[in-house]
Amino acid sequence: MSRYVMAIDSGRCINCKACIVACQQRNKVPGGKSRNWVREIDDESRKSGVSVQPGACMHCDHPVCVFACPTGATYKGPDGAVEVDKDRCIGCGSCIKACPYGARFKNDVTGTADKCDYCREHSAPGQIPACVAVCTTHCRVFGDADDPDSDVAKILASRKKVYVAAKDCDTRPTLTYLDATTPTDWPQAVDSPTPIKLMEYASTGVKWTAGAALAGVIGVFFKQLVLPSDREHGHTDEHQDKGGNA
Amino acid sequence: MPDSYSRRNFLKLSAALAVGGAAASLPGKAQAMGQKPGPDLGPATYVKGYCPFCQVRCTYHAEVRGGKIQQIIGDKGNRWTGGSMCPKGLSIVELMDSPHRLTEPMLKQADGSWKRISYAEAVALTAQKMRETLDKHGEKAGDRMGMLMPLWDCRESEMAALITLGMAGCVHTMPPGETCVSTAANMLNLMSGTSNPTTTVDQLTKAKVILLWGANLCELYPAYSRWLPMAKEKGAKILYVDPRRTRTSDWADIQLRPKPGTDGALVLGVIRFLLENQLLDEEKARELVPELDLLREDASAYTPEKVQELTGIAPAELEGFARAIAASDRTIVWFGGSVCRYTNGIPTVRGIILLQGITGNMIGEGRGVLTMHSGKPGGEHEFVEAMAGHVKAAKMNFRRLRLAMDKKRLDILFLNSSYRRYPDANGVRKSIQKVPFVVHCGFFMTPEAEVSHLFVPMTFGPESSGSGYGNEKEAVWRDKIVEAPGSCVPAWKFYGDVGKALFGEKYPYFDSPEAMYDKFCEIVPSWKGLSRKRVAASPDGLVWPIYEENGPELLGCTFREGKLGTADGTMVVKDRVFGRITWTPPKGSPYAKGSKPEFPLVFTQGKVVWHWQHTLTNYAPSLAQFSRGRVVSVHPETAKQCGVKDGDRVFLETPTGRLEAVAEVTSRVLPGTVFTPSHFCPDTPLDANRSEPVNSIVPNSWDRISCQHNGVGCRLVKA
Ligand code: SF4
Ligand code: SF4
Ligand code: SF4
Repeated sequence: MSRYVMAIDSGRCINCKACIVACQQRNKVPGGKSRNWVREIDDESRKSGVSVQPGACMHCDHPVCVFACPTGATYKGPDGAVEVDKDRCIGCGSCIKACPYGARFKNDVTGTADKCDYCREHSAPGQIPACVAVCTTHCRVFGDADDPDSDVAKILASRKKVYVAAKDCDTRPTLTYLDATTPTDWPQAVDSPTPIKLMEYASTGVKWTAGAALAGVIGVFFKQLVLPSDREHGHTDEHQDKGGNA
Repeated sequence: MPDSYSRRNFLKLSAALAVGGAAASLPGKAQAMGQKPGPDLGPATYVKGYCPFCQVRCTYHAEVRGGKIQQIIGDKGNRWTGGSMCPKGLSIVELMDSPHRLTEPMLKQADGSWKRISYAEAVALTAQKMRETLDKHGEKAGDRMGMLMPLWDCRESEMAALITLGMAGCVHTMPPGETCVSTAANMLNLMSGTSNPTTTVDQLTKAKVILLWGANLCELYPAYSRWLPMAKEKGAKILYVDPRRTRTSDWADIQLRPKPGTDGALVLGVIRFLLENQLLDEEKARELVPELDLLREDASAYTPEKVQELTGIAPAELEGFARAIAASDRTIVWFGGSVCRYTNGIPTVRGIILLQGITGNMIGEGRGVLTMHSGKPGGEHEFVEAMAGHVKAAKMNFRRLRLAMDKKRLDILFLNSSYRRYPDANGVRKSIQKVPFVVHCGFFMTPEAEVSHLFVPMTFGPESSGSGYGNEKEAVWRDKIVEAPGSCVPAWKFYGDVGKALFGEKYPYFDSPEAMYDKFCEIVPSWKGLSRKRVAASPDGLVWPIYEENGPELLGCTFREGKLGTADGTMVVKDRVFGRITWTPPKGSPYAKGSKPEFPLVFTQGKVVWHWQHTLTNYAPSLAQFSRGRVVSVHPETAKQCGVKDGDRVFLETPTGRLEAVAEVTSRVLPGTVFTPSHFCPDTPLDANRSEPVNSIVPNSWDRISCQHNGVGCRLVKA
């Protein structure tokens, strides 16, 4: 089974924000909203005087958004991705309030919760997430962390892993920063309603099962998306490949 | 492998299962609530194109569904960009679809209102006006017309415009470089024999030292940024000269922050240090710079103490910097437009190039000069002359063109680009208003459209095919990807139709950019190997020149014979026209003798990632989301002296005007200086991009080549 992870080397980021626009375009994010971000804070220790930190949904291992969702629309897939099943989402906004990173928003066009899905829904076969592809300095690396040949596995093995999570609010993010990033004590705990807190553990199991109905297929499907080199044919027709005309 | 197991079939199956699975496991609450999936836009096709903005000229695949571009994806095969792009290139999708775009020709009425007219009427009227001037002024008619370049479309459009004007005897086209980088291009040509960068960007990974002199790469050419970490991984050291702390600073091993406009004093200080401390092989230096002793003389006054007094750079910093340069026998200097945006830019640029020369870094692998003024493949002039015939008239620069407008000696102006790029922008507008017929080929109701008599809507980027070129002198090709809205036409068509209406059969009309491109390659020998088919097939185009069909690209150092391109292969220190290498403060600078004490701060302006020039990008919401409006950055000490706090509304005042701005108090600029972004537009509906032209407060200063925008004295006053 794959385990998808995004790793980010914030030290390489030039803060051009192409990742934000590329994501908005690929995923048809309605105006004024964004699935990802580049945080910037004044930092005299940097030569530029600014520290930047690209980010997006952390695809947490302890995803409070999943615990908050009353319908099972938000679930943690066995491949590591935290997903929103739009058909189940009733747009109640519980997950949006629950996420301490502010990674979610309500999509006014679909009426459902929206956030980074590793470009799963809007990618054609062979495409990597838009933010990863567009980045000039390759700050963002994405792939299957359990595949030792993948770029992400290699970089995770060779660099110090840093997570952005406050002590009082550790959702166990999987989005991994490399070596160092500033700041690391983000986010603040969000006061989620008590019933949701009580539901957390019971609901985890439920959500996993609900998600599992699809997980097997999606997991492999996704692997095909991100590993275009798994080609059965010696040759491929580029355009058909990209176009997903099938 | 049997077909049924092919990846595509597998994907189809997976997708079907995923959708079906969702529906089966939870017969959708969403559906029950009446939500529907978005419209099925049909299968995607991918068509190639290039970004029209900065000179990196990123190539992309446009994903087209339902006749519309859905997204722009950088071409992974592009060796210069690695498939990356900056937000400007991505914004072309929304610029094409902008609700503010003007898509019909319009004629200004006597009361100032606009009347919609047909494209045919627009062509006929333009031809008629040109005919009237031709009839009235005969051989001199060409001097009564002028054009502001560039056109935003493609090379073929530019050449069609040049041919039409050329046939009317007019050569007065104003290159955009005249407002910035022409000085650098001309000086590079004077010193080395080419105005193009003398090497290609891939050579950065072969250099030991990369000297970014005013080249804020990460801000200006974002998609090239990756070459900095790539070069560092190969062991290159990065030296950076910039008064501001910028995105690029984080890549620098050493950054010097001279006061704005003192780079010339700094380079002379470095040259003196190298000579005084025997850090040069003088014998070798003389091979390229025989007048080394004159240079020694020119630099002699620039002791470390003197340099500190003028530039603010401490002697120890200067020494570290100079020694790092001396230690490298493979240095590439990349100079930014900023080094020639002050009236003293000419000797500054020459000094930097001489520094490359005396350290033996002009010729060979991992050596040379890169610029921010882009490479330009040759041949255009040859082609236009072959088509339109030779025009004898001497070409005017913008100063003379403006004088002609003021004296009412200009009858027709093709205002294809922003007039706000010139200093004294409001004065320039008044001059334009004296021209009886102004045509604007454009996209939005910008000040340029508004000051014109005739507006002709143009296709934008992927709405038409055509070639372009980028920093590596590479030719690129763009297919027509989608249909243009309304009556928009490509500029090549408009100028071609005007030419045909004027000159009938005599006019060399091309009915497509493809036809013109092919003819071009036939006529211009250096383009023989750059056939359309070959260029279009390449993911990032082909580097000019290629003299043989299917001949190889020549990358790296331009001086393949081991000799500079100047007449005798050497660099001049004492030039007949431009004199010696000296430093004086920029005109109007607070450092200059007799400066006005009421304007004690140094004014600087420049590009930011979200803007490319004064027009198009100001209309893209995806860029406006990052823009912070008219901000003026000022150092905390200076802010205190001015009584200004972060976020205050202020007036930025020079001796010639004032602009309203918001103060940003930051140590990223030097004390005693201010910085403000250049490229807003007063007419955009997007608040964050709206501001009066910055050049309305910049006095009309020129060096011998181009007009100058930086270094004048200014002050901040609380609004
Ligand atoms: S695209 Fe890359 S360099 Fe640009 S802001 Fe995003 S992470 Fe940073
Ligand atoms: S970052 Fe927020 S939305 Fe993403 S998985 Fe974690 S809690 Fe959920
Ligand atoms: S880096 Fe330059 S060419 Fe590339 S997308 Fe940005 S503006 Fe366009």
